[in-house]
Amino acid sequence: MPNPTPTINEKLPFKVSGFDTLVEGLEYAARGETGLNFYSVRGEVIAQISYTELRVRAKELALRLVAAGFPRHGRVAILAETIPQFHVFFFACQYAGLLPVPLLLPINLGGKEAYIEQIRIMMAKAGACAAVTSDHLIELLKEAGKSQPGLLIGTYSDFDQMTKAEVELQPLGPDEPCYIQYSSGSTSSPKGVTATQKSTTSNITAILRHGLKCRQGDRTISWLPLYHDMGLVGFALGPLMMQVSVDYIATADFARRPLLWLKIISDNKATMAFSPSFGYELCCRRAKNGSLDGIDLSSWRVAGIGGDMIRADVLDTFISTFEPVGYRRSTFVPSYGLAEATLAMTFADVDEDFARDTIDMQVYANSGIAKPIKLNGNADKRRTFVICGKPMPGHGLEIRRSDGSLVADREVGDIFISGPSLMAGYFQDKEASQRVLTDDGWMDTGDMGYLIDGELVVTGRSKDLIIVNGRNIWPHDIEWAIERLPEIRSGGVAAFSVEKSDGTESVVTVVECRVKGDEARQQLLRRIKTTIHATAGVTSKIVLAPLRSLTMTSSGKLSRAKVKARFLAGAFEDRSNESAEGLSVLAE
Amino acid sequence: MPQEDHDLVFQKTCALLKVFNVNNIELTKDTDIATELEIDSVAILDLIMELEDSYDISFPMNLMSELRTVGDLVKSVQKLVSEK
Repeated sequence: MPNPTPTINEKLPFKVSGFDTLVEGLEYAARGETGLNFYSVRGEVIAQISYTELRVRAKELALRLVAAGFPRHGRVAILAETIPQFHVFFFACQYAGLLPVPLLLPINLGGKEAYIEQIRIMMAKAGACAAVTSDHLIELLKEAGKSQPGLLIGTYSDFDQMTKAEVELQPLGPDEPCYIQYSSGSTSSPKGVTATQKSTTSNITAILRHGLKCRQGDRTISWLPLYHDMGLVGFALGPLMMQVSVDYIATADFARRPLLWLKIISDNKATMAFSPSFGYELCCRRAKNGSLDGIDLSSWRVAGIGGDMIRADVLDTFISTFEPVGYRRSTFVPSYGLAEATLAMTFADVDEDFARDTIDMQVYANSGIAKPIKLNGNADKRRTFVICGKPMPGHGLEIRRSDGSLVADREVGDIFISGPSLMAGYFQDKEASQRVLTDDGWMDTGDMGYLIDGELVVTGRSKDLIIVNGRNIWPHDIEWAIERLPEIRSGGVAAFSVEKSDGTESVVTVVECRVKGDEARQQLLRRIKTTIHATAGVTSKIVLAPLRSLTMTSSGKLSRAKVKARFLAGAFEDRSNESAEGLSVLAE
Repeated sequence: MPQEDHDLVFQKTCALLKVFNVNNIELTKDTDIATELEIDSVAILDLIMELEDSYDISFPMNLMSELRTVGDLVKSVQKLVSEK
């Protein structure tokens, strides 16, 4: 087992800015000794590539891609496994003037057909000219790409055997695109974020310098998938642009053994790691039965959190679980961002404890104002949010009312952002791009939030907002409350509104559960109904559905719009007629 | 490494699946793990972890999308054991 690459370059000065392209960043990092380490589920280094070697291999492969005659900016689909070849291919594209398109991996039990269809749509929308993966996934990839004309499909070794061009490489320049990321939009109609060299390098520089105040001696670790912006930009491109070593574990290995993440942080004295709430929650769950012997988290400087709604209760549990092994409360750094802004827009102060804001839900529902509420009052009336900090320098963030005017402090509205990190648009999708990008350089994120002294609090997705009798209700609220019931699992609830004929809205809640038997189900329905009423003060139609009937986006977020569309199409009702055991619907 | 006996692997797998078999249906090699047992994605990983630990094997994750039934699972365990 090789030793991991060093944390600090002996001679090469630490440099976090001044790179206008990814290739410039790699050319510099390649002069040091740092690089990428890939761990097995048993915690051993099974593969390794220094930035020096990454540069050599990427340039060599780039010459083969050039010889294949792909047009400049041709799209190259790469199934984003956490292996060195992914990085080599990604950077070969940068050197060859091609655009890498990282694609998701098959992870669901029995989900083969659905997966093939998903990547088929993505490759077709990207108009990919080449697609590559490892030997064990090649059959899936071939199946997905078989009807796409002009698509060259091969394994990494197939591409390594192609002839090299004898030319000088023309890497992607500062005014050219960088990569295309399909993690936005629903599964059936994915939208490809076109990141440019400028948006990518601007965002990374801002994150490293201002957001996370990176320094020599930082070491990063990641289990995040490389087809998602937090994994790709945060933990593949970002570390490279500051010549920092990364220790990787595969996402599926993390899901099985999350404490391995913490063990490697401990062993390698890592300082930076990110995760959505889910990852921290999983660690707490496993820590209940697992041993924390030999884990020391005192080196951990930045535990970034973002990617979904940040739940203060999850952070609190993580702190109380891991404080005994050296975890510091101030390590948590809440952030807000989206793939359309490359990765990040705001960070809470990296050196301070994270802050929360608890507001009066009744006042909010009636007036749209986030009024602070005392913590000793009625728990049903309040809601706690984690504050995500200020936008990074050079970036703008505004909260607007529906008429476009700016809100006052603590007034909830639509989050708009601007700055050099914004994407060029959705790939070959003018209509979708125009829906979110304004002519004067702002983007409507689709998210809602409010500001406190310039610091952002995200409250939810505006398109998901439920309005009943003039009151605003966040679907998250209903979902999370139901998820706290012991029979219900996290992520298994979708709440949305359905418009009635008179234009008013009514609430529908679809709940995945495995409870069987009429009596038990009726009992559960009653408890859910009570819970919703207690949480949101509304009555809701409740649908009990089998596990895995909810629809997720490709980045694993709940797609309420899709669940709603299926509900309206009768997908849930139909099956309830077939079997009393299948589904039951309780009208109000 | 000797071939792991099919029946033994099957019995062991069924024993591990027992906690997820809330309706007490009879487990056969054709039982669909995801739909008939209604086991969630985190629980599936728990199960895979148990099998890995019992047999000292490591499931390549690309295999997951092709596993549907108890029989599929048993066959992969046998294959992984014989490849050790």
